Amino acid sequence: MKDLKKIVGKGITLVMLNCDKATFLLTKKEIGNITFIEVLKLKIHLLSCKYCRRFAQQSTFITKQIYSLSIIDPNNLKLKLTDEQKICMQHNIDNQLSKK
Amino acid sequence: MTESSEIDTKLKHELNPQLWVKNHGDYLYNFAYYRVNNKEVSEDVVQETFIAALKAQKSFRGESTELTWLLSILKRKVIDYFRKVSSGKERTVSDYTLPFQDEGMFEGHWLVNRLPKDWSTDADSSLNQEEFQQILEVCLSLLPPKWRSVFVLKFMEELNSDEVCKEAGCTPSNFWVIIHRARLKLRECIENKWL
Repeated sequence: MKDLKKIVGKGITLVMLNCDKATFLLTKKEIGNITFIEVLKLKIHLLSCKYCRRFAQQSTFITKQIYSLSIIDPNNLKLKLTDEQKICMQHNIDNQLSKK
Repeated sequence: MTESSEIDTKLKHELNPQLWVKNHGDYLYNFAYYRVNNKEVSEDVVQETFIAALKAQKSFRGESTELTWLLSILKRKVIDYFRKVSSGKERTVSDYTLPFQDEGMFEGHWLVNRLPKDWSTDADSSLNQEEFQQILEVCLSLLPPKWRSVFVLKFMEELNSDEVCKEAGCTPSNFWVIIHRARLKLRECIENKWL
């Protein structure tokens, strides 16, 4: 009976991922490649784990938001250089130009 | 107007260094800021870009716009910055502990007090978009410098993992560990500040 439990336990760990590995594979899947076996393991895990399903959904959302943060809309600039900063930059450019 | 540009029917773009600060200064500043997350550094990066561009004027062929050309130089400067912070003394070891149980029958499963909460309803609302992005910005800035470098290069500049590691100084296996941990930390940080 004990042996049977051990074998079943081993079988389960072969098929089942824990959440640490599952979230790791989710990331690997999103931006790289995972094997067919890993895809299956991940699917099985996600079926039974709503927290990893949440993690998956939220992480994809965050990735999209990071990307959109990187797109700068020229008509809606959130930050402006101060006049002093601009004068200083212009001064440095003029300096460089006059060297020629 | 020179002879060559009269013959050339295609419109060629020209450089007007005198107007760079006025025309592109703020745009480049914003572009840099959303990557390096620091106003002082962003200002330096823009300044360095202008100086480098002045020196490289001859390499401008007029095939792209002036702004596109300046942006390509700025991007390189941003990457140089990440290379510097990733390799320097600033390489802090993160004190972030994983949200998973580290022993026992449920090893590797979520810690009960750090389970991901449900926030899909709020995230979908466009009203909260701006607020979400502000929190995201703060949480990105709280990542250790090397993690943030890897993250920005991967998710903003969309470099492949080899290129990211070349710039941020990581090994291929290390890359996945960093991304994995950074995503867990980032998600948790957003959740704690947002809900």
